[in-house]
Amino acid sequence: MKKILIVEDEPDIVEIMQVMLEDAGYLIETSNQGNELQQLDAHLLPDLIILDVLIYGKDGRELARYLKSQPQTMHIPILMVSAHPMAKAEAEALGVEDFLDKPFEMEDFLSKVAYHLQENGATGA
Amino acid sequence: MSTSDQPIVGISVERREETPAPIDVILRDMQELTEGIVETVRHSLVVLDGEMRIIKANNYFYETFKVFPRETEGLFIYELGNGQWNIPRLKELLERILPANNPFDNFEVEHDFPHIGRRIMLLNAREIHLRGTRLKRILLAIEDITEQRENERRKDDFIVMASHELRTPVTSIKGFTQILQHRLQKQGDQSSLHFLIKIDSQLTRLMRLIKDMLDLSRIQTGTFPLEEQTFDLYELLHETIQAIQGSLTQHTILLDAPRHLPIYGDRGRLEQVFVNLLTNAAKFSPGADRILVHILQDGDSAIVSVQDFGIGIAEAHQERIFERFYQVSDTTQKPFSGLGIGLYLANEIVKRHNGHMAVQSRPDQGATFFVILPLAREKEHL
Repeated sequence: MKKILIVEDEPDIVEIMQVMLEDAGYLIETSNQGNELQQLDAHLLPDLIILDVLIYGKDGRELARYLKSQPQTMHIPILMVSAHPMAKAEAEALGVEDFLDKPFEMEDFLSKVAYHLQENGATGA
Repeated sequence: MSTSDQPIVGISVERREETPAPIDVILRDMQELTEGIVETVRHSLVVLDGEMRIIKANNYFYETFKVFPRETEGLFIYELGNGQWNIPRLKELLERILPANNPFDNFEVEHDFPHIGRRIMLLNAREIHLRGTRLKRILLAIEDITEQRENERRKDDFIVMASHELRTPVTSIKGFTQILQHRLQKQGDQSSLHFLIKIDSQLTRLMRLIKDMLDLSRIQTGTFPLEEQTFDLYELLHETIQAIQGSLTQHTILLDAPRHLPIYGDRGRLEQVFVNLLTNAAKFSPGADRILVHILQDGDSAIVSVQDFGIGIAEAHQERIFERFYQVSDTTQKPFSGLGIGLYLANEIVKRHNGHMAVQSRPDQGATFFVILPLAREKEHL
């Protein structure tokens, strides 16, 4: 079962994403700051990370930059989400795989997740 | 050169005669009036000769820049202050005015001025031809728009913040609504599902309003990025119509168009334009049952027309409907909801694609909106 980590500080949004993804058959972990990502063992790493651009007390963009610079995590696709109008261009500049505007349609969300998990599996990463 | 006895429009002083003829009275009254206007307006006005030397400036100019006539009159404009007007492009514009009567408008200068600090000034200039003396002068009007800009920036910051704050609760409501829809669908609870679909479609409407508000502010601040690519106009319209058709219960949208009309532009933004035209067409034709969409190729352009059979638009309103916040208000017509920014945004988006929009309409005979877009050039093809 594919494992997805949601890094988001808005409890409602975490719940929404978690329910949508669990209903679609994924295994979900959540984190409100993403700190765990820096101490994870290789075999505990998720297959996909959903990362909010502005998480409380910490900048999702910094976390994305860190994850993309580490050998253990650089291959994990990141889907950045934000309600901020200018966030999309910034996310692209960070080299993350995809971006989703809030509010989002459930269909768009699930199809983006499925696409990146498939890509990841296909490359054998 | 002496500046005091040069006749300048509205500024020279004539000697009073003992018994003025009526024509002189009229002339003097006009003189008085002109001078009154020049000294009363809340804009800085400067009169220049053909050499760009200052002949006269009004009180407001001296008040604004905190300078005196003795350090202004007779000087070249480029020498004033710390060289604030010594800008190559401004020089070019000013020097082009007299030879061929080329006025200019809205030249913006942002500068750290002596005495008053950093300000943003907007300049207009015109030729004044004094036929009696065969002299030509330049009238330069300077408006300080620093505060206006600052207010606009504050307003835009507020809108960006407000739209972000509004999006957060809407994301929650939208998310939970969709989860419920999904679950009720599984359980086959059609009647509850019906309500949720209505909530979802109102949320979509609310999101569109928030997005429009934000786009409007981005257009005002010039931060409206386009993501350009080559795409097929037919495909875009076909998809847009399918999406809109789903939400219409009364109207059928008919598309008549050739395939393969390549456009180079922002597909999502142009979709927004057509969504706007199609939803307007439905909204303003409550008694009709169809909307016609045509695409034509005309030389290097594609012309998309969206025709409805509704209430139409009186001629007096037609030119103004693309203005920001303009709403047709007519006591004989029932009021329609809306912010009055949809068509303004559509027109701005089309203009950014080097295209334009037009409308043809008569009251009670429907309206046809045209979007004219340049076709992609060869090198922009996929």
